[in-house]
Amino acid sequence: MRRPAVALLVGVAVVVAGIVLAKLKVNPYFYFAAYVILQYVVIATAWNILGGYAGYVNFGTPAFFAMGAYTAVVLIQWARAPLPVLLLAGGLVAALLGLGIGYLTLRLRGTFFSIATLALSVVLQTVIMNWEYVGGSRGMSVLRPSGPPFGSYVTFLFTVMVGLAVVAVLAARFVERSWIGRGLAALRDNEEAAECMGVPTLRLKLFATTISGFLLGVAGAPFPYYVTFVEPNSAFALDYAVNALAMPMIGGTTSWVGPVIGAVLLGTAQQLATVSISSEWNLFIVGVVLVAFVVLAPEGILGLVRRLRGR
Amino acid sequence: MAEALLEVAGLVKRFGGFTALNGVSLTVKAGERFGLIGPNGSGKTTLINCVSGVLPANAGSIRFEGREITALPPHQRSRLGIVRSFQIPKPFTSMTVRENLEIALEYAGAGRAGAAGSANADEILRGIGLESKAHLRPAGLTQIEMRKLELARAMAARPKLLISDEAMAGLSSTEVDDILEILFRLNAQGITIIMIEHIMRAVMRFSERVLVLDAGERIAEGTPEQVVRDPAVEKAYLGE
Repeated sequence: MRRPAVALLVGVAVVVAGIVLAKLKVNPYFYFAAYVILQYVVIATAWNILGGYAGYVNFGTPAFFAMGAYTAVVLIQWARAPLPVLLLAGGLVAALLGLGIGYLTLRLRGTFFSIATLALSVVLQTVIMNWEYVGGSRGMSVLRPSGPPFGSYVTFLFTVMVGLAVVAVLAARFVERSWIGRGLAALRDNEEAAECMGVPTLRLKLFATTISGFLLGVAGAPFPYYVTFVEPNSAFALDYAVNALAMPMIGGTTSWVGPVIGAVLLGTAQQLATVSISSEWNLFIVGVVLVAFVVLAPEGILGLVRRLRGR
Repeated sequence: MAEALLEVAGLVKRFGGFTALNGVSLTVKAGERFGLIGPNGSGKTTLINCVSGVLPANAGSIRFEGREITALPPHQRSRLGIVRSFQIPKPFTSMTVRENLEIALEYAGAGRAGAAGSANADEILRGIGLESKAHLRPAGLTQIEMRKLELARAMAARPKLLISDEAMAGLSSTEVDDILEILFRLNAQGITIIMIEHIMRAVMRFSERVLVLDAGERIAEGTPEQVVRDPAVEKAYLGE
């Protein structure tokens, strides 16, 4: 069988496993925590398409995530739109934002690009804080639709997030192994040389920022229904910026597996810390682990494994 | 006379108030070995940056095979067949030597049927003497191997016009001969070559025609023998 077909089958199997898990009715907190970890699988994977494959470090993850979340809030407010519409619309709005920062790469590279994305997040948060329709800085409550297709609404959202994680990972894997991924790697290594060897760098960068934005927005779209109360500080939380960067770095940025490993490890550690120590320790853990990895294993867990195998 | 492959007319490039190229014109014929020399800061690299599209020109026109290319981005020019190597090697560091070539093959070379004969990455590496390094990352290469990789990658893009920007700077004299031989061989395969070089021995031996730049203007053009006897050239290099 061809490898893409195998990957697709594995993806379907994971979704089926998710549905089965949702039917099992273990402790409801499990689904609540697992949702967050899966959400980080999507976020880390999406971030890595731009940050890992193309080498453009995006500090503005909260902006994209919140675009997805607030697009959903607007559509819920305005038309009680169904979840699939929220996902698609949240993704598209964030994709447009991605396309916009893609054009920034014409003039801004390296640190300057990263600073611009950080600024973007601050600007958008200010806009949302002053927009009363979506609750402004006070935030607003969101009522979940009654009667999810199965189980409780949280188990349903958990299953949805399993599906989104699979879609994100398959998309990243496809990009990585196609001519697009090879071109992105070339421009990450040396943009000028890549361009001179025929790589259409601008078009590839726009593709990377757009698809990365889309997936980040999709990850944020179910957020209003998950928390049922959306306010700017939680939608634009610094956690997203730090985790989106730390998870791929810890897992390894050169392959789609890296962000998945990083998200599962760090996400789980954070959830455990939240329950057993305190929710304030989340970012502390990330910080310590990230510093350790940057110093000791700059190529992440994948790099460590490769080194141990002696390659 | 062979037809013109590259025609540059009245090229102007300014950086703020500094004029790096002041109305430079030149014509390179198909199959020619063309040398570009001049003192440091005379605008050689700026000129080829404009020809390869890395820098936009402020005025003037560039035609390749009769086609106006002044406004094309670099990747489209390389697909047409204008390929350059870099003065300071710029390999793709996360890839192996072979993968470096494959990028050029895939993006620039594959679309155009064999201007330089059809060769895959391994054949090019064998031809240039890097086949034993194919699986290495560029960080594991020596200076001369790095220069060869730079040329090999340019070859993989199947150039019609190869612009070699100081491929020999800092190499020993046997290594210079090594690179020269490679360039002669490429030219024999029908590739037009513009060589930018400070090593006079090499550029004079290699070039059929030489253009001398000084302070952004062309001061002489002709066969190597004519150029070295030109008083303007002597003045540019040695002063009055």
